[in-house]
Amino acid sequence: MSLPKVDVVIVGCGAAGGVMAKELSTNGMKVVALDRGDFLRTRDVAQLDELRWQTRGELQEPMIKDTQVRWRPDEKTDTIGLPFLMASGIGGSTRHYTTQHWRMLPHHFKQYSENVARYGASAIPVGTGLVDWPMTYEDLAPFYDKVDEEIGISGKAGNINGTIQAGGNPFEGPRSKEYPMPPLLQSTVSRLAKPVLESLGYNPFPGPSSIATENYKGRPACTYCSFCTSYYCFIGSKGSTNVTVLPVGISSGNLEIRPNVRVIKINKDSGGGETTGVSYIDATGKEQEQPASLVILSSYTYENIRLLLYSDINKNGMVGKYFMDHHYPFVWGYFDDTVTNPSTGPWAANVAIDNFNGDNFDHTGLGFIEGGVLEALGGDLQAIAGAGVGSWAVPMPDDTPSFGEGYKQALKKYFRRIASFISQVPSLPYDANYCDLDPVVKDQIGMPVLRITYNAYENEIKACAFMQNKAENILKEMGVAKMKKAGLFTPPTTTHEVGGVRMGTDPTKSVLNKYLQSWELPNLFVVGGAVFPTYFGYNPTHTIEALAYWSADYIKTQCKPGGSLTQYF
Amino acid sequence: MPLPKDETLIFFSKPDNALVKAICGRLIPGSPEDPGAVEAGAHQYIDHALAGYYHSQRTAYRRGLTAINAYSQSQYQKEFVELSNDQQDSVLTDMQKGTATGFESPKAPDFFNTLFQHVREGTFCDPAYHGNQNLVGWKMIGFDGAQVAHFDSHMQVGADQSERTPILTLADMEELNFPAPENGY
Repeated sequence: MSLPKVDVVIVGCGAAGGVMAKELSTNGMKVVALDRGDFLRTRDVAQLDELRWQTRGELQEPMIKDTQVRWRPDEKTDTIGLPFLMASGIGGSTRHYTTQHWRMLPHHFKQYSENVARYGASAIPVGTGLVDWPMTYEDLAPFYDKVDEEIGISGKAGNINGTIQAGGNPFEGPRSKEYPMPPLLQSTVSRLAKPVLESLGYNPFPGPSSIATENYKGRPACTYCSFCTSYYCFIGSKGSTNVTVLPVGISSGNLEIRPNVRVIKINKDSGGGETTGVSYIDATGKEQEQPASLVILSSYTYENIRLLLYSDINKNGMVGKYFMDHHYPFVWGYFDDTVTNPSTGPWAANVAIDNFNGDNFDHTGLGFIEGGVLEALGGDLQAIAGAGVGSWAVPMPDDTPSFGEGYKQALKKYFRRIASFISQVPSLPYDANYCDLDPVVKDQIGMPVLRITYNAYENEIKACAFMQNKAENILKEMGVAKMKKAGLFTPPTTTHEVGGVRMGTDPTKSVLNKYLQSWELPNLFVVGGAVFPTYFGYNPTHTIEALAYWSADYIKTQCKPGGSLTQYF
Repeated sequence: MPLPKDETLIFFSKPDNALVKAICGRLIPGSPEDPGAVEAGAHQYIDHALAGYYHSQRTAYRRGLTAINAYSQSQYQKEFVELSNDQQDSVLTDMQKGTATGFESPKAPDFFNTLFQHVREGTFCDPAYHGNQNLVGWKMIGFDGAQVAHFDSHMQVGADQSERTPILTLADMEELNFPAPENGY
């Protein structure tokens, strides 16, 4: 038995799905948005409780229970299970994210051509599918503007219409105007770091964030409580799609949200030339079929890939290819005396430098291409994570005894004297890094789980070591007494996993066209980080949302009389 | 002698509670003047957690605690709680290193890690969970608790979060009214 047909069904209601749901429903289309998790409101979760939200990760729970992810570094090694840190529920991980909202650099859209032009074809590592994006920064800039405005971003512009702005990021692409809100108050660590960064000749600026720094469109300003990453904001200051764009869609009267359902298949017509809708298991455990003219697949990278493969939508064999992630080459510093107030203000309230991102520096002789933003870390640290427990646990110095009196004395001294730096080093798109369906392991309803084959190669290892070296110099200049370094490889547990549903210009080498439309089933669109053909050294959410606005704009145009999508209605 | 009323056990047997309490005292030692995990009531946190959220770990705890006493007997011919501090530390170190014998499922390092994680949770969680009693965990490291707001002065160089008073908890939050998005979401 199938439900009444709708214009659009959206699978996954987070960053990408939230934007799509708002854009299409306010355009007069009847939209049903499905999500695995709950539909919570701010007042349901107004609680600063580390154990519940961060240590035990309540927002991530439905995914952890349903969806194991298996990972192996290469085809010769057995897989192990990995934790799943993304949240399910209306608003998705925009409810508990750190809120950093970066635009890609203009260079990031042209990684292949610009690296070849500057360093020669031999600089591109063998075994990579490095390409240019199918659109330019200039194409996407108006849609970045839309995210700034509708999600509500705070920050300091560095380049307005080509004029460099003091205090902002001088490397950023030109933007049409200043951010809608001023940047967050800076953490103590950032205040300590900024003069040092300047003295070293770098260009520090406050990182952009979707946290409201003043009352914005009915959203209260941040109070700097410091319970931010992993938490649903207790007053709704974060630019989560469930408090920003989704309510706009709901008030259009055209958006129906169905939480607590699990999509199991994207359906095709008998000829396999178009999608007819999706099948899902509803909140009572019954299987339902939801027909729709258009299907928007906007779950996380993992589930987007898994649903395409499980639904047998992979004629050219490109689904799952060129999986990418960030590496986090942390350096933790520990002062003897200076107090850094790590539990004061959000993690996003930090100073950053872009001097080592993209191609903002000369890579000649370094043995790697690309790079990442380098950020101070202060704020957002609670007691249990400070004691080394949970997904954002902070370590004590290496010479700390592992338990007992010496351990206790280290916690007493260093918990509030930590100063750290992190970079986000992107992996290149390697032929050897891909996702497929696990041939053995199945989830609770018998669907094969996703198997990730992913490793770091020389380019990333060298880039991470380079970043750690820069961070060590900065921390040393700041006067820390001790330092500790993270490993140079981060397994795919960063919440920044992307790629696998590549967009491109060649239907034989990509899954989607540049409007995120499936080459195989033209009334299917996939939105999210999975579509990235190459990666960049920033948090991905801003670009995910800008691409959702970009794709929605195309859909709206092609649904007008005479448009290419009208045949599906 | 009966336990004080506020230490009523809801999962552990009395001997298991005494054993877990002794382990708490070695992992994060303390005294009335310089409180640690026992003074925070981490053992009570664990008792409540195993009765609720961590119920799936009950079997692992029973087997692990039995193995700790068996290993203590094999090394020193005494139960863990009867050992000296140094002997207790050596048992815990052997578990951590994986050299302690007699542990099968859970393995010794895994059970050590579980215990240490839960002891830290119980020392540093909100007191609503029966741990961090009298806020001794938060005072130990200088955490100012469930502060609903910080100000520019708190982030300035020279400010010290450990001097901020009062430390706030979930119970304090219930007394307060917060803003929320005007759209009701």
